[in-house]
Amino acid sequence: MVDVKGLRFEKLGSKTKGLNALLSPLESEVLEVLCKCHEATVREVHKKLKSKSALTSVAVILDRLHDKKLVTRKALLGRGGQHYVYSAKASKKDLEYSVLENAVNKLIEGFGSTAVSYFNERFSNCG
Amino acid sequence: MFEDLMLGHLVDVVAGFFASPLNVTLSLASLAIALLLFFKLNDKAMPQKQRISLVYLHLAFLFAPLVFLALSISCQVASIACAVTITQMLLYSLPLVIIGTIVAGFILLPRYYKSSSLKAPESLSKFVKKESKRLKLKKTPEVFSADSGKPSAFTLGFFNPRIFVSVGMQEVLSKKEIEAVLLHELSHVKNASSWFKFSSTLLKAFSPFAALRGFGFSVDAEEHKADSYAARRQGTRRHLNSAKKKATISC
Repeated sequence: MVDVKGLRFEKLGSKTKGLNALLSPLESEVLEVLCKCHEATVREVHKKLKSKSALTSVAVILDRLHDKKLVTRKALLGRGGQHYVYSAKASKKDLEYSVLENAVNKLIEGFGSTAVSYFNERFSNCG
Repeated sequence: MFEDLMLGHLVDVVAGFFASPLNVTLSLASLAIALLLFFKLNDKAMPQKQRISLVYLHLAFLFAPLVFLALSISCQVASIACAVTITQMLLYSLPLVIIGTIVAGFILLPRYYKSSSLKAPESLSKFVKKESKRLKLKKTPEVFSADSGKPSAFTLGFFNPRIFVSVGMQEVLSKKEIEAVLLHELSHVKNASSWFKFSSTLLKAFSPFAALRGFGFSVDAEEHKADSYAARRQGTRRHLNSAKKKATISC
């Protein structure tokens, strides 16, 4: 499971759905590009983006995603100096699973047996 | 009970201190010298390093009366020995905080950044070495790649200056733009800007005189000087301007 503790869950359940509720539109788009191409540099991600963002913005967004532990990076030495090669820690679906697991764990930690019996009741009704 | 004892003791100590004409003369002389040094700081014609030294002399004279006061405290009554120690500790604490800040800012911070940074590419080190010779720097600054994806560059350290260029900066700037940034940083090394900025912050934080009057320590002027040097050396402002534009864009 991916560590998603760095994400803010306050917006979850608002109009935006899925990971888009937890990430900014550009963060979400950059992550999507990275999930598709497995490994990429800032310039490669920048080229593949649909929105016309500045190269610097993409570099900052990737750094932010790294701080949130959603991507990993390694520094390589190239012709123009050092650069990072980024890769997503997991697919978008795996990330969504991690977010859900984190949220459910928090509820169980906070409410204990009440949360467990609520989930039992809720999901038996769904079936 | 203890608070009353402490307060009473402190009042006695201060009253006792000012009862001695020698103590009063020494303290007033020290404060007068601190004030003179503070006004001398406004002399922009004075060499930069000399002005920076004046900041520390000013702070030393400013806090000297506190140290005189602490030294004058003696244990007259055995039962208030603890109060004496606490009062002395309080009086010594301010100069110690200043010394601690200087040690942290000059020794620990550059070491921390160095330990968390990567080795810079050979091309950057070679460029800095060549330009340092041209600037006649006593010591060639070491160059490091700061481990961050955000575009940034800065210089730390005075006796052993180090230039940090983040990996993010190297990713988004062209060769000429990075050279413009390095020239800008080298100008800061030449003018001891990191020491200057640090001293300026220290002065603002600890000297009450700094709040009363502007003291001509302009960080903006330092930046202009560094920009002008980089533009002059490259013969154009184009690379520097585009580097600055890229480094300031964020989301």
